[in-house]
Amino acid sequence: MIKEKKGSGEALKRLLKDPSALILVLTSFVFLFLFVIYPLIVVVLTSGTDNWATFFTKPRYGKALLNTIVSSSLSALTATVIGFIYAYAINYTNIIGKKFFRVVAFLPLLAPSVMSGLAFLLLFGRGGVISQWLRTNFGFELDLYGLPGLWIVQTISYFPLAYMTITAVLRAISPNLEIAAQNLGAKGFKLFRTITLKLALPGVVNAFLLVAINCFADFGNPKLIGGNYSLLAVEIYGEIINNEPGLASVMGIILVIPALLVFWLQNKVLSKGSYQTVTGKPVSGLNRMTTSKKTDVALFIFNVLVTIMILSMFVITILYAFTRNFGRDNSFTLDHLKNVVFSSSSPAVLNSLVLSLISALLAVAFGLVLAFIINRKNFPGKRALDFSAVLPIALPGTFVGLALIVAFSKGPLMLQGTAALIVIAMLLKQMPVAYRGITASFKQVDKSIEEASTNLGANSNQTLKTIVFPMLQKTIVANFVYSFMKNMNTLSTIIFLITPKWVVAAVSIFNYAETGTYYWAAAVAVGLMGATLGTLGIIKLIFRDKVKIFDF
Amino acid sequence: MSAELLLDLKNVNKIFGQNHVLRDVNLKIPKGKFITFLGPSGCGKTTLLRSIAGFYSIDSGEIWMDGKLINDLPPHKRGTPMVFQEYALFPHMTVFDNVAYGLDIQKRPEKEIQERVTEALAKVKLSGLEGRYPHEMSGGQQQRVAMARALVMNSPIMLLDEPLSNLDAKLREEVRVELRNLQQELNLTVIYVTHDQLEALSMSDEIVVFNKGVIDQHGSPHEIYYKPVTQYVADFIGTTNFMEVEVVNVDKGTATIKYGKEGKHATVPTKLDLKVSEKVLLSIRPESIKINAENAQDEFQLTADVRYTSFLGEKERYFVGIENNQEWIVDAYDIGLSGYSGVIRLSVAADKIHLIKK
Repeated sequence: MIKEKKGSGEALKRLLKDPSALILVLTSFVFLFLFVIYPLIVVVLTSGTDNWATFFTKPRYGKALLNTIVSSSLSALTATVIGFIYAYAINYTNIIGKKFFRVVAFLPLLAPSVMSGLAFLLLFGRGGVISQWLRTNFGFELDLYGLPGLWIVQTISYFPLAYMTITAVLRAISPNLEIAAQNLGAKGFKLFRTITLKLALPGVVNAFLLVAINCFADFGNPKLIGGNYSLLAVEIYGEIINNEPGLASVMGIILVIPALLVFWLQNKVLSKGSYQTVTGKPVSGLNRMTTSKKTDVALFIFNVLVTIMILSMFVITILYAFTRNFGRDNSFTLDHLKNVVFSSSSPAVLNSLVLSLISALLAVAFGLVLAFIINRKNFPGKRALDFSAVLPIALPGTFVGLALIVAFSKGPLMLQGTAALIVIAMLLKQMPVAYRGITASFKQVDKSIEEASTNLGANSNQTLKTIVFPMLQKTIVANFVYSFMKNMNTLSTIIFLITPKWVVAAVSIFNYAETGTYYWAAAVAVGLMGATLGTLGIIKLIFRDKVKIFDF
Repeated sequence: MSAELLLDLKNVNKIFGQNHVLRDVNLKIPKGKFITFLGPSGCGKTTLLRSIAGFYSIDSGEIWMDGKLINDLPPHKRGTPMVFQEYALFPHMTVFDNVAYGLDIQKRPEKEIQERVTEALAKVKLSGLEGRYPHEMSGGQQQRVAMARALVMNSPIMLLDEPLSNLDAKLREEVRVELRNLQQELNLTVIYVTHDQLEALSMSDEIVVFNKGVIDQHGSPHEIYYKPVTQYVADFIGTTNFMEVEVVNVDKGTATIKYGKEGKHATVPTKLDLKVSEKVLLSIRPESIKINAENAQDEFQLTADVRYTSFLGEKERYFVGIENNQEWIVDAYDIGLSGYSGVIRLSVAADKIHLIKK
């Protein structure tokens, strides 16, 4: 009886004959084990039973957990609702200024989310512009520290995420369906409720969950605005400062649980529950006419208000960055920028730029290698590799940073305080995104094209270099840009890893904001945004129209 | 003998999960011939081709090429250039770069590459289109680029996987002739996979007919057409009529059979090793049957009634009922304005009757 030669033994034999692929596979295994699996194990081992007991007996931790749940649910709810209305207005009405609304919703991606916290303090904080105005004119003492402020800030910082997720879903709904429903007599709110909302619901739920887990583990804004309203991520920070890695690990694990749950839900439930719309050929140039004039006006006003809020964050930050001391001395100055951006003693923005570029480059390269070997090669342990490559997407940045600091602060792999560890942390967060994106493109490249290359004498490395790379160029650049922007703005992921020598801009904004040196915080924020925009401009110049960076 | 062999496949087996796709395939492929793997989809023909190219590793058996065992040779070292069904041109490269690719990989000198690519493109009549990209070309032109890309390697062998299936009928006929001419001019060994019997019959030196992972027959187009060894081959290639008959006498090179309700006898040539009273299948091509022939001396006679007809221009096809309610197909050529209807008499010469073992 002849048996099919398959299974891990055969796969291994084939791999051993292809040394270039073997090297890629082995490197991937070693890297992912070392920086994804091993830190997870260390965190679990570090947590220990006494620390779990402490966590559940001391009321301040229970309170922090409750606060975290409450504040992130509230913020996620409002961000999702606002995101939905904003997206609906752009995609379902004939209001003017759609392009403007799209661009404004994209702006917050250019700045770290802690900048929203900073702007909030500049407007509504104790010394904030609006607080002072209320105090001097009405004698009213505005106090939004704690839950109210945090709620507002997180809603605004994460509204773009909700907006983008929901837009993708709304765009996927064929206008034919609504037109068909209208043809059958549905109109107004009934049409919206029975067709549009129903079809968009899986995406809306997804947006809510995404925002919730992001808020759940966010560090910067809760620390700046939370005041006595303490959250888990802030408590973790405190325990790390107090050199209590055990307690920090316990709370880290608690942060991870809902994130993993959502991740699992997205993969299992939502993918099955989404509606497969069965329609004929899309009719081009078909426009929905589903909203009344009154609704249009209301939606337009809503979107204007949202954009005013977003723009005011940028305006106030820029005003603080370019005046001596805004509110007290409004004279124009470049001193703040000179002091904290273009000074060799404060290299935060330059550090951000260098580390982000290196990390984004590595993330995309590694994502590409993983996508290649997992999609095109056969070897034992493939599913484990795929799992550990995607896993970091589900891990909150705060946890990734925590896990790395706990795992690499001692022993033979003492990486604490090195720039390498910062690069790795950023890379872990972005590599899964690149890996997934490139995998999707890979699936669109016909396998026979690679076979043709092999057939003409190219080995896997040559095929990768001459055929696969160039064909994936668009996806690769898009992912590089995305990773770069995320790296520039990350705070939670790297807050535990930075050292005085390797301070990055987002941390610098946070530090200056915490100590009340607002003009410096604002100046670093402006410098950071300038560096991001400048780099994007250069990338755009290099690739011209071949690559679409901004998809409005 | 072995010097003339390019490929020697011994007991090749390939299994995909539950499917035993190739079963003990034994095949010798001589140099300089046009060999066609023919069969319906899922018969194993493409699997065997891809196993030769090294894209599949076989589960047992041996593949010898030029006297070397190549079972474990990775595809990029086999030197078996292939033309893919969907062409698989590199979309980001010009025609020139596509064709030059294999030579670039070999790091040939610039000048040689230039010469060989130009020559290959001339062979497929694409000179002047070097700077185009695949998406700027028609399907037929893309197909030629794919061929040039394989030809330029100067390998003694070329594999083609249903290369014409995406072309329209007229173009297909053109390319068929060109491909055959190229093969003969360059003395290439071509292995050509198709499910199209006309393609197989018109181009090949040898046809290998696949049936569910097994080679049913391997022979010249004429042998395959006129002397199919199994009912499957007879049925798959062209149109044919079957009847079960009994052997009543066996002589050297002939057999006498008893056929029809009346038990008439006919003596026909056969190379089969038959026994008296064995049941065999008789196979007759529609064009071998004469209708209402004057003073027919033919061995085989049968009456039939015309059920319906279909006029195809050069011939008229008759669907006729014979005994036991069986339906046969009979072709009549150049019939002019007259035709047949009602009860007709069919007759077939002894040498047009072919016997197949059951």
